[in-house]
Amino acid sequence: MNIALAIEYIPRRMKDLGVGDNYYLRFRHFVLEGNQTLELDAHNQFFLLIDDNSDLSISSDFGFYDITYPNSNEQTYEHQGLITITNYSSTLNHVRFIQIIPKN
Amino acid sequence: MIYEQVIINRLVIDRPKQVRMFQVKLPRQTQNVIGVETGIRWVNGVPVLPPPEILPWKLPTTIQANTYIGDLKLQSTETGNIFFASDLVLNNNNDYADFTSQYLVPKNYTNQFKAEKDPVKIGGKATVLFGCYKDNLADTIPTPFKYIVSVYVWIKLYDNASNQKP
Repeated sequence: MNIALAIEYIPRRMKDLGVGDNYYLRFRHFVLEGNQTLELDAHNQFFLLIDDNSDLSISSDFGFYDITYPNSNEQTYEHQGLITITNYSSTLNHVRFIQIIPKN
Repeated sequence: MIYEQVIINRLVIDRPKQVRMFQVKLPRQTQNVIGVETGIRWVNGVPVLPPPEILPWKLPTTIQANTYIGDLKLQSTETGNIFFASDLVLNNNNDYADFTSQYLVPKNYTNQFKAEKDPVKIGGKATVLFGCYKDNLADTIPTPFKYIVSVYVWIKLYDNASNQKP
């Protein structure tokens, strides 16, 4: 997924979920150290992965993303709940998301 | 007329730590999703339970740890979002304190607890549900295995002919 698709996708998805236009957007760019595992608490939020990365594994409450993983039949770009990001590389790595925060 | 139906989806899991994304297609007449039920069937692989001991039988009174097989989640495209999450667990205590187990050892496929659907109420406008199953059995069993996960989705739907749709 790229940013253009994400921008097109988000309003429709939020409308489907009943959020409508009542949400905030944040652009998040995480920097992971070699072999670092990062946990994000994204309950009631959505994280949209906007670029592919072959050295990362992302696992969330409803989804899984790991391009190099052979035992998965689909990749997920929309993540929510507890998100675990693992950097497989021993060097610095970057991952970019659009964070969607529904308003109360 | 409104009636109920069950849609069965089967997922074959044969690789360690397999992640299986799937879709459950609902008929267009669906009013609500009213329940979800899960099941599991072994196909092959090393048995989860250790082989029976060749020791004199005694009444099983110690609790064994159950086997965690995997977790299943279902998501609706509509406002329900993630509406169902369930752990698939193999009960290893079927014969607990059962004095008849000397001759007929209870197995999961003979003496499993009464299966009941978990009630949910999700709109059926979006005619598809998304599912995600993640295997965790590979943490317990290092050798190859194969099993089938069944997902039963109970729906309430309208009879098209009777035109009762509001």
